Parts: sequence; structure tokens; C-alpha cells
Amino acid sequence: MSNVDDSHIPAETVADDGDRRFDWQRLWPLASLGTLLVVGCIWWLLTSGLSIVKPLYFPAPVEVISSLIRLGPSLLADGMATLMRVVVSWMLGSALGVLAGLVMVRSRIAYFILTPVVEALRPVPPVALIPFVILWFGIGDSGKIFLAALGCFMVMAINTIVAADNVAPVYLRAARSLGATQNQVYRTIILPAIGPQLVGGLRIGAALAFAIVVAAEFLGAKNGIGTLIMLASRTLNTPVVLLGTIVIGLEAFFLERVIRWFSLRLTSWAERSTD
Amino acid sequence: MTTPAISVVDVAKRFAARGTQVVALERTSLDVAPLQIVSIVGPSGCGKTTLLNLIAGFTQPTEGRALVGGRPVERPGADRAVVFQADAVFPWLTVRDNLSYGPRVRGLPRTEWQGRVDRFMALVGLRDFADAYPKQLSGGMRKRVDLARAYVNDPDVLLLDEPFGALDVFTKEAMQQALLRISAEEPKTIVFITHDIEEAIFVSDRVVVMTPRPGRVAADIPVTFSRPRSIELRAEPAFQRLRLEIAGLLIEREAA
Repeated sequence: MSNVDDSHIPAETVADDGDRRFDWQRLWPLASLGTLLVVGCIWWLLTSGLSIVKPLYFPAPVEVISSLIRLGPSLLADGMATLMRVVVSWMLGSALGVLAGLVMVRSRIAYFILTPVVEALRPVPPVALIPFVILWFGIGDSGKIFLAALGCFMVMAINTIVAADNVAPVYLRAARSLGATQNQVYRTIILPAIGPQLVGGLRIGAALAFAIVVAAEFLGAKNGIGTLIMLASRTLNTPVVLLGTIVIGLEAFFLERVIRWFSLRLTSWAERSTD
Repeated sequence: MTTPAISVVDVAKRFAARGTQVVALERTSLDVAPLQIVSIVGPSGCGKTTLLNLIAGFTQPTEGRALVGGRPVERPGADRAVVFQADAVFPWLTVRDNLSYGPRVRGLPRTEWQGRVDRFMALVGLRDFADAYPKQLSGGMRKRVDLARAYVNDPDVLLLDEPFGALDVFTKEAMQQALLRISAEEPKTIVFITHDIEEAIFVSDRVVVMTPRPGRVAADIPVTFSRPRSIELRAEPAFQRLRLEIAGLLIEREAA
């Protein structure tokens, strides 16, 4: 009666019978650390070690570290201001985007009403709207959040429509035959079914939100990493410029990790080719 | 005579495809008595799936009408459960949640279906996999989830659209046995679409033979072998004679 097909069980559970040799593949992630180390060494060599690159064009590691120590808490405050704008706009824009996408898939009339708006705004780079946004919202948080949320909204609305179109019709038919109403089909079938496909859009949206928020901070803000870089570049303070970009990189990496952690848990049911 | 569980009256289905009209189903009538198991056999393109989709309410006939329980079919509904050839087990739900999906979306109280879920889970041999996700199951096990899910919802009729068509021969035979076991436990009116003649005879009380282009009913043959049926039945001369008779009908029509 029990004809369990091994090929559907994640490799770890299958391989774990008696084979107690150490699995060297577990150490492979360390290779990434190695890459970072090599890049760091080359950076040090080119700037401090061999002095091939002038400090103005690319600052040495020691200058960046001294800037870090000098800025201290104010760098943290700028970093948090940027991260907060990114996270808030990303969550808000993505949620509204998924909602709008589902509404457009659900209702033909909503689709035709919203399509011109979406299609007209979609090709416009959100940063092109920064002058308007500064006029409308000033240089506070709301304008930057609005702009980045708009970017995420577009990504997720399109992502949702495409993903919902790809849901296997057999699931919809099965659900209807089991007594689900149209609305229940959207909540209990389409929304969970598109989950794994939305992860891609969420990650693209997070990267986009960073780009938009930092660009908007460049053109007018009270604080944030973008502002920090902008002010530093006016005085050709390249160590701070580089420090700012490193902070953005770290924050983006951190957010990416959080997204991946959550998405793996929420879509653990999905079959993956890397299982 | 009792009113038929399913009554298909003079239905025809035509599609317009690239300017030309395609006849998927020629004017067809079919009555299925309550608790009868009817197989519809025929090669692909004979309109058997179209016929099933009309009864399920997935499509509307161009002519005629389909009645289930005396009421005209207008849309899909919980009174007509469908099991498809494709894997329709919801991968984001555990086996238990798949089985209880129907009663839950219909808003039935837990006390009404909890027992049925456990009963059918045991009947198809999936009790140890209640909390497993479909990706952990084999193709045959998923099909059993599909079948049990349809039964748990307690429909009036069960529509099976080549449900075992994608399975290997051994799994397929095990599934046919499982279907016979469940239908003995809880008799239902069943329409079973297949292109496997032996499978059709083995599970049903009646075999309807359809031929293609345009799809229509060519023969309606009663199957009188007693139940319960075991795998040995297939070796009986009477079984094989019936199989050849039906195969002959299909070949004859193909040649004509």
C-alpha cells in the first residue's frame, strides 16, 4: 500500500542512511567569504599596498574605517532612516500591487479601467517623478515612501497578473466542483498558488525600492544614506561616499536574506528543482 | 422507473475555430440511473471529455441540455465532483486539508465532516500521510487524495475524466481496485471516462462506446459481472469476449 516515491523527498532525508562520511558540500558557502577576502586584499593592495590608485579616485580601506569611526551614531541614524523608508514603501507598495493585480484578474471592468493607468505609468522610471514629488510632499519621508511604493506597486501588480494567468485551470475547476464560490477561488486557490511566483517580484521590488529611495535622498532629504553620499561628494570626501554605498549594499543584502527566509517558509509546499 | 441521476438530452457542442465550425459532440442523449457506474470509452477526439464537461458545468451545450438530479446544469457545483487526469491535488495544502477543502469552503461545521475525512483517508490508505504535503507523495498516492477528496464532499454524482490515464500499469490496477472498494463502501452514481476498454469493463455496470469526428454514441453495452470483482475477472473468457466486442466496434468505426 505504501509506495512512497523517493524522488519527491528532499535529498537530505534519503541520503541519511548509514552514510556517515563528512559532507564537504556543507562548507561550500565558505567560498563566498573567501571571495570577499580576496576582493578586500586586492582593494588594499591597489590603494595602500602598492599605491596604484590615488585616494581621491578610490579611498583605501583604512580611510573608510576611520570615516566609519568618525561618523559613528550619525551613520547609524542615516542608515536606519533609509532602511525604514525602503521597508515601509516596499511592504505598502507590494501589498497594494498584489491586491490591484488580483482585482484586475478578477474583474474584466476593473482590468480595463486600471490598464491605461498602469500601462502609462509602468515605463516611466519613478525617479523621473522626483521633482513633482518634492513639490507635492516636500523633502520628508512621505514623498520617498510614495515613490518607492509606486515602483513596487507596478512590479507586483504585473507580477500578480502574470502569475494568476499561469495558475493551472485544473485547480480552478476542481475548486469550483468542490463547491467554492468565485471569491473563494481567489482567496483559497489563486492567492496561495501564485505565492512562489510572487517571491521574484518581491525581491526585484526590494532592490528597486533601495534605488528609488537613495536617488530621492540625493535630490532632497534631511537625512539618509543618499543625503550622506550627496553631501560627502560635494567636498570630494570619497571615503564617506564609499562607506555610504557599502552600507546600502549591506542593508540590501540583509533585506534580501529576510525575504528569502520568509518566502522559503511560506512556500515550503512548493516543489523546487534544487531540493 | 426512477428518475435518472444524470440525464443528457439531445446535447450538441460546436466550437468556432479559425473561421470553421468544429463539431465536438454530435447530438447525443444519455441517461444514468442512480448509483450506476457508467464508463464512456472511445479514442481521443470522440467528445467524451466534452460530454463530461457539459455534465460538470464547465461548458454549456450549443443545443440540448444536461440534467443532474432533475435540475438543469448551469455551472460547476458541489453536487458533481470531478476527478481529472491531471494532478488536481492542491500542493499548498496537506493531505488532510485537501480532503476537507470541499466541506470547509461550503461552510459546513467541522463535526459534520471530521469523521468522513478520517474515514476516507483510512479507506485510501493515507492515514500515515495526513499531514504530508503532496510533493512528498507518489503519483498514485496523489490520485488517491483526489478520489478521497471527491468522496468526502459527498456529491450526488462523481465524474471521473480519465483519472488513471497518467499512471503506470501497476498503480493503475491498484487504483481501479481502490475505486471498486470505495464505491462498494459508499455507492455513488459514477461516470467514468477512459480510453482503456479493460478498465471500463472492470469498474462499470455499463459501457457506452463513442466514436470520433463527429463525436457520438455508437453502442451502449451492459456489463453484468457480479460484484465484488477481483483482478481474476480479467482472465475470464466472458470478460475477454466483451473486450473484443467493444474493441471491434471501435476498429470498425475507425475503418468506416
